[in-house]
Amino acid sequence: MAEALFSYLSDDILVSIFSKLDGSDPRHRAVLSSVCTRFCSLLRQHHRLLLPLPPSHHFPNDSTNTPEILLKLHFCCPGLLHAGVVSESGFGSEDPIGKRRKLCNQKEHLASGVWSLSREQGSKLLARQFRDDCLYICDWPGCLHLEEKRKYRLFRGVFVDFKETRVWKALNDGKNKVKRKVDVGGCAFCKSEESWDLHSAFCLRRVFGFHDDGEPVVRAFVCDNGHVSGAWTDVPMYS
Amino acid sequence: MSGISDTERMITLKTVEGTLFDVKSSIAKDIKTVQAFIDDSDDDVTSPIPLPNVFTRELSRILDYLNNHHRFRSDIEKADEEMARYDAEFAKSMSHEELKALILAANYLNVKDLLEFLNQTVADVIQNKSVEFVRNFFGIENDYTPEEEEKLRNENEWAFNGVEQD
Repeated sequence: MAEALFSYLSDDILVSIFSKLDGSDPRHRAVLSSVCTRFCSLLRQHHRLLLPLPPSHHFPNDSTNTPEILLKLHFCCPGLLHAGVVSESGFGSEDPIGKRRKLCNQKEHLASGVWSLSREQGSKLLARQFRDDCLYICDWPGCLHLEEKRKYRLFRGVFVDFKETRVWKALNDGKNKVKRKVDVGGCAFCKSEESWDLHSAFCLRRVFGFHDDGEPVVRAFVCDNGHVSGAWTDVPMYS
Repeated sequence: MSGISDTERMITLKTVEGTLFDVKSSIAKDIKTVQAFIDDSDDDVTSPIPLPNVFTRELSRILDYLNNHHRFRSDIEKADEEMARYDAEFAKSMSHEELKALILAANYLNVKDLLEFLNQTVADVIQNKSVEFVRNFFGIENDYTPEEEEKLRNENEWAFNGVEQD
């Protein structure tokens, strides 16, 4: 009897149970939303449930920043591909085990490092003229990837009201518009297929510069919806 | 000193099976559904209050819980410690079936503190379990199409993959 009745439990009880799970573990939300359509829509209605977020007024629950996207921004490393460290064709001649590992690290995955976003971290990236733009980036050190050549600290983040930012205006400024779009396998967080290279659009601080082999010390890409993926490398000792 | 005295009024509750339970009115206050019934009655409630959705086993456990919590609260010094120990034992002693039946009863009777505690117990049970486990636990049929399920799996895949180092 209890078995049959239990599936008709009120939404209030289910929401109360969900709210008692540890909100700092994104797997809870992933599991619950896969259980049935009712659980999924309950999680959408109570979109702040199981989401440890910066103050809500920064992120309206709209189509560019759904709860699922915000959850991902919080916990998910964009991987080497979306962060522009490797290209899709860049893994031809690896041994099978190394290749499997690399494929896994290329794709999105649960981020190592601290699971919080902050505006301070975002401000460290942007050039002076964009300091009024509100960019949230994951706190240092981000998700650490030890690759053959060097260490990459992958970061993810989001611009608040992206279409209102100076960065957006700079990216859409006349003739450079098309040139700055790059293929990093689409946005890791939404369905956007193209991104802008913030480095070559001069939106990042100039001081970061390049390594001897021409690789930028910091790279960052932003999609149409303001979602950012990128990577820090260690600043070279000699330049 | 406290509101409980020898002359305290007793309320009689009647379960689905017809079992009668005598309950102090101070305990009945915590059972909001019963209290509402009493408040709505013009005269003193003398005949048993029927509880058509509550079985004897569940009511007896709920009353145990409430009586013990009342007792703990009367001794301020030890209250928190003893209550925590009692709650832990109470949670451990329940099977999943009993837990579910108790939630339904506590919900119907509207016993807020107990319901909160039982919901926490469910959260502890389903924490870090698979989708299949959660479905079984709640007695839920999967109503996603295979295509929708595949899409969800892809969307959520990242949460179950960590970064791999050499």
